Amino acid sequence: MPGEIRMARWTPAWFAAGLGMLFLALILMAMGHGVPRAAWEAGESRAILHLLAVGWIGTLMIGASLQFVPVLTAVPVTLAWLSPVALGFWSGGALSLALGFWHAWPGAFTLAAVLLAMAAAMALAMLAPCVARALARVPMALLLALSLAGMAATVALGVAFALGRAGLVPLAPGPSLRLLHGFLGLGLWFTLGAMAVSFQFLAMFGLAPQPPRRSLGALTALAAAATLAALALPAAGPRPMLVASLAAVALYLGTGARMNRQRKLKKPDISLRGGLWAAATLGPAAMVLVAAALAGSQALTLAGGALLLLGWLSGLTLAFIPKIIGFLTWIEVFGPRMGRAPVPPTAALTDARRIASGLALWALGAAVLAAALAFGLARPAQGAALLLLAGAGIIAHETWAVRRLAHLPPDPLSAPPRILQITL
Amino acid sequence: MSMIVTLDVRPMLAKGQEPFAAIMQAADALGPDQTLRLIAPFRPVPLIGVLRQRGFSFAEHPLGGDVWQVDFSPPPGALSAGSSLEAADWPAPLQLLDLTGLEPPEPMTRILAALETARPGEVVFALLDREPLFLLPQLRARGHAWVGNHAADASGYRLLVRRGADA
Repeated sequence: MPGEIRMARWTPAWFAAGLGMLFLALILMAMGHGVPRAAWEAGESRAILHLLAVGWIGTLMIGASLQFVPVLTAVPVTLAWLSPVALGFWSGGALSLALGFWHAWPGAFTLAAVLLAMAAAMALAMLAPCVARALARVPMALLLALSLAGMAATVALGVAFALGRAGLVPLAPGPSLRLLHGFLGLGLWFTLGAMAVSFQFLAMFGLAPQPPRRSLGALTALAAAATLAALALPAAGPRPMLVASLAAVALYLGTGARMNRQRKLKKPDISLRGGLWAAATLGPAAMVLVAAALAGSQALTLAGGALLLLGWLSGLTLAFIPKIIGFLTWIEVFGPRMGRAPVPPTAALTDARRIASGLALWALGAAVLAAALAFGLARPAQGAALLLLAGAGIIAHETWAVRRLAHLPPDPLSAPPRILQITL
Repeated sequence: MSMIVTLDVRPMLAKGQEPFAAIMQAADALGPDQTLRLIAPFRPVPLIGVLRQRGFSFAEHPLGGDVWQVDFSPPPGALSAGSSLEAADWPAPLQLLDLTGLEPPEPMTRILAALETARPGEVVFALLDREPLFLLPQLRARGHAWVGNHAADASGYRLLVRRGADA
């Protein structure tokens, strides 16, 4: 039936690929690679940064968007069959990019540019029509449209940089252009997209009211203003961009706090609590980044970046991976039995205490890493990477257990589904 | 003031293409303040019927020759895509479920459970916090027909489901 929203089949595969690249980055960090032991400009630092940003958060953002943009816009994804192809290209591109940085291989940069550009084009071909058709109807679609534009611009700039590194185009980006690339990726694409998704989760799973149309409009306007200021970086310096970004973060946190106070679900589960904690990290992350810009401190910039990437974006993502996979698995396995025979509650698929311990270790690791980067301490940074590894390991193991129905008593009527693909 | 989205289907028809899907897509994408202005080389009677059944209002003007201009406006709370077009003939619902304030997927489970106890042809009404997007394919898979829309004051979603014959 056209017009009907169906579950995206490849969400578990997108999440697994992203987690794989997160583990690779964390293992390299635990072995002492990257900042603060190596210079920020060093190839290995760049490789780890891009494994985290492109390989982990980028993969999760695209995978989650393919599942939830249709739900947010009530418009089905077009060309959904492209999803596994895009996943292959995107993860291949992210790994190739990391290799290019690590070994300064021109060929790897060229391959990364081609693969990431094609994967981003496929993701946009699937998602942009959904968002465009909902623009007039759904207030949240404006945020999603701006976030997708951020994705297109980030990848376009990144591809140009990679081709420059490969020696194919005469481009050696200066600090302003690189800051623009970082703002478009971490700010516009990831953070704005995560803001939209977190509002939706709070409304859907926390039974909170939808965010007011006025707040969404103002948030979109502030994000657009910050983007214009980022484009004017060479002329205007970073202050206008920082002011607009800070105002957007304050508006997001204020709106989210109001929605949370009006939430009807009195006892939020561990995913919602983890998500609320991650959202709260966005405030300190933004303040540290502003302080870093005012003081001109690279160490503080790294600390703020770690809070943004690992505290806010990764914290939110890790909190919701078991929840999303649990929800999809529950519908996949028990959907056909619903109403006809008893079915377990969705919460029975997960072990909340283990997820809580994983998220706590992760949060501690992110805080220790931010402090270690601020003070340039190599050993504590390695220790922090071990904490992060342990936290992410528990979440990944729990997500595997959810998919295997491991917390349910054995039931001949409901066999565990395929791990990487949802079959309907 | 309402914004007008114009769709001239004459070039598509001249190329031998079927414009129905494009028209329905444009109609589904309309915002509450928007009007779809259709320009066609004939009076599109069947289309007017389909869109009226989905709650759209319309105004038509002959433009000379055989050409017609028809303006379609979505009513507040237009029916969701996929809604059954025969709901006007359904009997009154025998079960009324207030499923607001329930955590997903509880509303879904309760609607399907209510349908299992209903007899074929009987209708169940449910009030929900939001459009149950994952439930709708389940209803279709089980042979039930449904019709639903958002409350005009955005307070929730209203769903009528009629139990299928051999579900």
